[in-house]
Amino acid sequence: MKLFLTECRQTSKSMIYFVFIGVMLLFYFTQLSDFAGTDIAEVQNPSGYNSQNPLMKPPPDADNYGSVEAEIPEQVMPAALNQLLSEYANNEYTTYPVGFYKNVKLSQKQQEKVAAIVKDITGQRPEDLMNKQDKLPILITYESFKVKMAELDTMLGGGSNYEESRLQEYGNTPVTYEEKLAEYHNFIQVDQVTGAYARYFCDYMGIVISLFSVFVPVAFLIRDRKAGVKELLYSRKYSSAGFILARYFALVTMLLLPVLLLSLLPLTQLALYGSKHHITVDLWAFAKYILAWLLPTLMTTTAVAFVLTTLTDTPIAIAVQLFWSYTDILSGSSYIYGGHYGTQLAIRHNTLGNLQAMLDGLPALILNRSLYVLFSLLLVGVTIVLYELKRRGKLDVYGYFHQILRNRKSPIKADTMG
Amino acid sequence: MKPEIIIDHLSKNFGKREALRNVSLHIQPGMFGLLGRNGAGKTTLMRVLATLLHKSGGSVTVCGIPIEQSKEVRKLIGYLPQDFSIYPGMTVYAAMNYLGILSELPKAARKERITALLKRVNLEDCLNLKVKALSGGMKRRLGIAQAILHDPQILIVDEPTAGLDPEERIRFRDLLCEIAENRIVILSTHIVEDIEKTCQNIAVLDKGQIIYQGALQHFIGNERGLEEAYMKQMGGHQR
Ligand SMILES: Nc1ncnc2c1ncn2[C@@H]1O[C@H](COP(=O)(O)OP(=O)(O)OP(=O)(O)O)[C@@H](O)[C@H]1O
Ligand SMILES: [Mg+2]
Repeated sequence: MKLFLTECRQTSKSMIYFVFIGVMLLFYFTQLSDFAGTDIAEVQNPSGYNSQNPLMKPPPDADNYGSVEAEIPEQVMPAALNQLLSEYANNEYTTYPVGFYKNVKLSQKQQEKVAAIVKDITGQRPEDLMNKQDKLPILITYESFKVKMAELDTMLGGGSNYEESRLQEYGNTPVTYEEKLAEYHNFIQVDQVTGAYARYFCDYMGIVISLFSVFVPVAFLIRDRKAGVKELLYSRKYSSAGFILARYFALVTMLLLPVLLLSLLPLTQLALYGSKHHITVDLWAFAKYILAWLLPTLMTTTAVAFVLTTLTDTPIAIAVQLFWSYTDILSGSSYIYGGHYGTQLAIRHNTLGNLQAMLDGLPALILNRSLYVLFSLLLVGVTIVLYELKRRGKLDVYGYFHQILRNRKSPIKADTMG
Repeated sequence: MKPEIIIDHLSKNFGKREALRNVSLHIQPGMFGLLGRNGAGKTTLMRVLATLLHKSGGSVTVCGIPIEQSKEVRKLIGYLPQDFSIYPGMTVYAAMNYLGILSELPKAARKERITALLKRVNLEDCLNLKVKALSGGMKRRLGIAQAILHDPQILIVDEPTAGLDPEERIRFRDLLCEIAENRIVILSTHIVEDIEKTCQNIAVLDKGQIIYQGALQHFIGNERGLEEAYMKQMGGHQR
């Protein structure tokens, strides 16, 4: 416990920690600028109904309550076909086979097959359709269209824009007054106002943590090698497990702390709003979402930093984590409004609405988060073993490669040493 | 129990390179000098004793405890590495405190011992100075203070006098002698003079092997000084 607090204090003295906090604040004030505060201001000084503002109770006579994705064949078929025509023309098909972004290029023969599919649907070759984008002839039923799309998706290796579960993205339908009212009731009763804002907040903060948190633990751990202090530490009697756990949880705590503190800002705004308008506000919503959504992400990036930095004594974890987070965010970019969880490291929910999507995907979400927690604890376990091996002189990856490099640079010196 | 180290047919290989071969030593309380030129294997031997390297063969017991039980052995040993440094941005006190936590000293004991030890190594005025602001000699003294922070039975110091000016060197030697009163202090060096003035017992290491061990007086024998005896011995061994 003593060590935990000392390590927390050490973290708070590092430059890179404040850079991380700076990036977080920057994200908050640029990306979430029209957040709770703006919505509250708009409610208090309205210029008509805005369906984007969840604080506004929908009036029965508004012109527009927004729209949602819907699998409407008349919309889906032409839109999907247009997407296909443009991907076909460039021979660049975007797919996310296992959740990671992949750009598929087809062979001449496969391109011919795509053309055949287009012909089956429209009776014409893609080349002949290029100028008819707004009135594509569609000769088949929606059922057979779906079969064709499934065939195409298989050919592209799965996870393409023509996957069955994604076809609904090509259509949308206006939201009705009843639906909007039901959503508003959910917002007030289930989310108790703050829930919706907490998800939106965590969407952005998840990106910040996924991309940038790794720098802090790497810098913290690499200090031991840079300061030449390793042997001084190794020969003391503390246990490796206690040491690594204290450091790990100190870093996780220190990295989570600024997010928690920052969430007090919208929380306070919304709590004040709630008390003024006699609306019950869930004061714990931000804390709950931060712990359930962000903590597993943070535990994972920190664990990646721990295991790779302990193994190599180099900043390689930064490159690994940046690559992973970048592909993760790219692959999640078609599901930014929530509801699809799979293997996503950063949980997306880039909207104040869509509570239902989260509720529908809840089992997948819980599974996803639990697995990341288990995964990070596993990595921490591996870190403890690696650290113990290093301490006993049984593992020295950095020294090994350092030696090789040194010998290569000065072969003469290496000779005389032997 | 009297501190004691028994090393029996110890060997250590780095790949094909034999850094230590068949080393047997019996070390008793007092200053023990480990003499040998660059690359002789002094650091390797000390790191095995400090549980930082696993041996390739033979056996080592520290106060009756086999070296494999590293956690127990670490309680008994204080180590000052050859090239060491401490987090440069920390203050002297904070650094000692951190290392004290890792030695699992309780808070009160930490505070008391750190103040006492820093006084003993003449750093009592530097408590709040950053480590990077210390001179080479001061840093070395801080190194000793951290190595005996948990009051170990055995202190292992690897070439502690390298790079110190003559005056600092003498002061440092005296400090080690004081510490050695009821402990084992193992001191390695390739500077003969360091050992001549302070150690009762020595071992001479060359190419990973012990070529002499025993009383300093005996080693010097009829020669005028240790330096000469050393040169002679080494010369003989090389031929
Ligand atoms: N980690 C290592 N990997 C490979 N070889 C090593 C390693 N450490 C030491 N050696 C080799 O073992 C031999 C003994 O080295 P050691 O550092 O113990 O000598 P030393 O007596 O302390 O020398 P110095 O006076 O220069 O400090 C040398 O040949 C050295 O190159
Ligand atoms: Mg050495």
